Amino acid sequence: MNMILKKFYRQIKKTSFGKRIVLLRDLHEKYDRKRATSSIRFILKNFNKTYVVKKCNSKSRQIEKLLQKIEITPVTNEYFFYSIDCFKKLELKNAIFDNYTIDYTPIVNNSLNQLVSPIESYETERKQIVGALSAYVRRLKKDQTMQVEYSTAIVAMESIFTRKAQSFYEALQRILFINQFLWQTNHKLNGFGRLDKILYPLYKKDIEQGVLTREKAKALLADFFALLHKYYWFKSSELLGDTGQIIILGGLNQDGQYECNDLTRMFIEISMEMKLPDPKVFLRCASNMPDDLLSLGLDCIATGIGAPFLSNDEAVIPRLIEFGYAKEDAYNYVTSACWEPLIAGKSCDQNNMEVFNFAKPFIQLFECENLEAYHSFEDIVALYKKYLQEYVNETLTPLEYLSFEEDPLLTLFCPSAIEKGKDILHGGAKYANMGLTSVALGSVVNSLLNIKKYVFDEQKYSLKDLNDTRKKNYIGYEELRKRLKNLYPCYGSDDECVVALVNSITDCVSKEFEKYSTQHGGNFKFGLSSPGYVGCGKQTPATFDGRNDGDPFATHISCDMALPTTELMQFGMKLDYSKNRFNGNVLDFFVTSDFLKKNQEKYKQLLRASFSNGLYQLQMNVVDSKTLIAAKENPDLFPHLVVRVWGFSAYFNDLPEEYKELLIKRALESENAV
Amino acid sequence: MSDDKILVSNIQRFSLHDGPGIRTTVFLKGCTLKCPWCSNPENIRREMQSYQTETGEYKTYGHWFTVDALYEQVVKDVIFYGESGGITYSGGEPLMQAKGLLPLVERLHKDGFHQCVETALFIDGEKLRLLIPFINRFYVDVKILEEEQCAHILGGKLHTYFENVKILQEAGVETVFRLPLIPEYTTNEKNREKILAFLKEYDVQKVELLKGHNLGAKKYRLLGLEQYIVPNVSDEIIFWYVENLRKIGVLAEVCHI
Repeated sequence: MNMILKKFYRQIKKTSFGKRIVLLRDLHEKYDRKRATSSIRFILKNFNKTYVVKKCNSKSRQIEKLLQKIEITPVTNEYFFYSIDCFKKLELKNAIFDNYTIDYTPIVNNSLNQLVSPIESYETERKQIVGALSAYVRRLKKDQTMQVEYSTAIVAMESIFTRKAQSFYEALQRILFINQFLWQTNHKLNGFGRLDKILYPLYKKDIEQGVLTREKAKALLADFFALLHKYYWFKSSELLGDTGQIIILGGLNQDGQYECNDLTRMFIEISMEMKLPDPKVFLRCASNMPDDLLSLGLDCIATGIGAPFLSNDEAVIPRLIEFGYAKEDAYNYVTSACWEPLIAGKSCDQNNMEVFNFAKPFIQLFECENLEAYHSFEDIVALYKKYLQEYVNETLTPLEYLSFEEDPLLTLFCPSAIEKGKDILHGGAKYANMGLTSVALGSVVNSLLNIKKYVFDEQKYSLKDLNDTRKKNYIGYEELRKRLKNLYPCYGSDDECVVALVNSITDCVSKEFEKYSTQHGGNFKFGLSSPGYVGCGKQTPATFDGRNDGDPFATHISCDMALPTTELMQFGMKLDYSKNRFNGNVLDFFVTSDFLKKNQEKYKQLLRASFSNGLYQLQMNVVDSKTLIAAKENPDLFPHLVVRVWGFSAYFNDLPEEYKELLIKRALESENAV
Repeated sequence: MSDDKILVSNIQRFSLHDGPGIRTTVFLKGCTLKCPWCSNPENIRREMQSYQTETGEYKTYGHWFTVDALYEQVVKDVIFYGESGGITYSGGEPLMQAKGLLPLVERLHKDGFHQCVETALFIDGEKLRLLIPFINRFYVDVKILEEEQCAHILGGKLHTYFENVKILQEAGVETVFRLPLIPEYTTNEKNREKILAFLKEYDVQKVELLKGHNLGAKKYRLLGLEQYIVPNVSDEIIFWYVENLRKIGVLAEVCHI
């Protein structure tokens, strides 16, 4: 009976009716995260609004049709036009390429008519997509209400076809115009790139000419923020808050000077004042960054909104160059939705392709091998590396031939693709690499160190016995489990042997990764952070670090045990991120707002020294356990409490219970250490 | 007791409240006093002490370090010290092991490190003189200044304390006085008056007020010792100190852990 129903369901999904129901069901799931509503009521209420544009040979044609069909329902606000019809989408032939940032520079400084392809066949395709965008603006102009309410915005949007932006306002509106279409055409996790850099020349010009004041500019940006946050429930991916709307601020230039401007500061000020979890600011750092900017960044972090994230240019940029990105591109880096370095507009690097679970091959080893045959720690490490290599093979082989749906909209903003007359995803991009995130390295390293200690050094247990205890999920062995958990030195300690072990494991993976290449001749990369620490934890049995079956792994580069901050930082600084190991390496620790505020000078000292000495990236979780516990019990009393999750901020109340519990646990541990 | 090794119970990195900047605090074992409110009871006895953890493991408070080994540990965070950060010696009474510390302190001084000592000064003056040339700043506790109470409650001879304060002043080394606020031991009226008089007499410019805390509870448990639970100090009492110190020209800073 079940089989028949499943077959029936599959057939229905292929029909136009079925596709609309699926769209509604997915939308409701997203919508439901914010407020519990009846799915039937939602579907019935919105069925007539839905439309799924059938796939066809010409993607531009399909997008054109979508833009004709979508309802124009701009969000009410003071200055801008921004409209997404959540009920209409494209049917896809293949996986969509997203989690990306287009380069908004040409959107501000060029006109769409200027982006001409020398390749005749592609120029037709390009004209079609530009034509689709242009037709949308004509629809707006025909609408009397729109003309009245949004006349200034429409002029700005129209200008994108024929000239560069001439004012700060125009630049912002043009950015919003393109951005809404990214979301409209099924793209998720759309970043903004270096807006302070992109917008500054027009901001400066307007201020100098007296047509703009700082206050007015700030009001415009505040509106810009509020607008982008409006479709929060729709834009959020796995968890509410995970929208990828990241604005990258500051950064080193090729002369080694740190570049920032008044807008850099303004974006941070707005983040602090509005206290929204999204969009979020991300600060590129260096040891020579201005003191006031670092202070402002720390002031913002101390509010607890989980921003800005800190990325050390002195560590990231050389790694990008080493990997093969051109120097000028490396210095212009942005990131994917969380923190994986990305070249905006020029690459089709999908940086979060999969989660690499270091524990998976480790557990496999203990399921397959005759443990009595191994008599030394070195044997076990060597054996693990063999399983690791096999796991890399299993993981990367299917990805080598992975290709994505063609994307004329993204292609429009990729110079090399326009030049070559090829779609960005089918040979047009300058870079076509692929990145993985990873979890559980900490668990594996601690497991190995425990095995070394208790099995081989102290000979307290045989490997088989210890493994049997682990397989029982430590039931009846709580004391042993706690002892395993209290291992020191451990992952996170800047102990020589620990660091050497970590580097030797990542080195093994790195060398293995080098053997594979992507569909368009790019390379694979990975990093030691990931969104997957809860999800993968659920699927992994107990490990030798005292972790129970199904428990989450450590968040990024962190330690359960709450080590002194300088120790954890030095651990992070001593890890080898060279070659292909640079795809996001986030040190993660907790600090209370009070402590951070009272010791800001010392934290600045800490950070500057870290930037000079190889720290890669850092996110500080500013919460205190009391507030979190109270908020868990009485969510209504804390409607605006924002916390940092893996690479984004979210309202605490929106998080699933397991994420809330994990944050509370980590906050308590860190406070106990103090 | 050999003088070429140092008995240390803890080396605490990223210490933000034991002196300027980012510091590494070395907690030495052994104390000449027995303050009822001590938050480091594991540092009172100048010998290794074993204890059992909650998971049944046997551990020890106190390990002997050679000068070289300790040097290696305390310079780990050199990249974070900058101009003002460095190493602080605490305990217990770190000056008890002045002879053992001397080569370390000399070497660190030669290598340009900023060093602080946290002391109660109930120690032979010679030990203090030994280290003065190499220490940038002393943090001196001002606890109970009534002679009999001091002897009876803390186990200390007040005249020793005053002599050592004079030694520090004559040497001209930077000294910060710290007042632990412990009801009723140090905050009773008589003691407050004595403290004000003392600070005035010794022309002290600045003090730090330390609110008592009970964060050492776990250590008391593991050592099987009874803990005096320090009552909370009210804002009124703190205000009293700040105000009255101001009246005698002393700037008081309230320190929070």
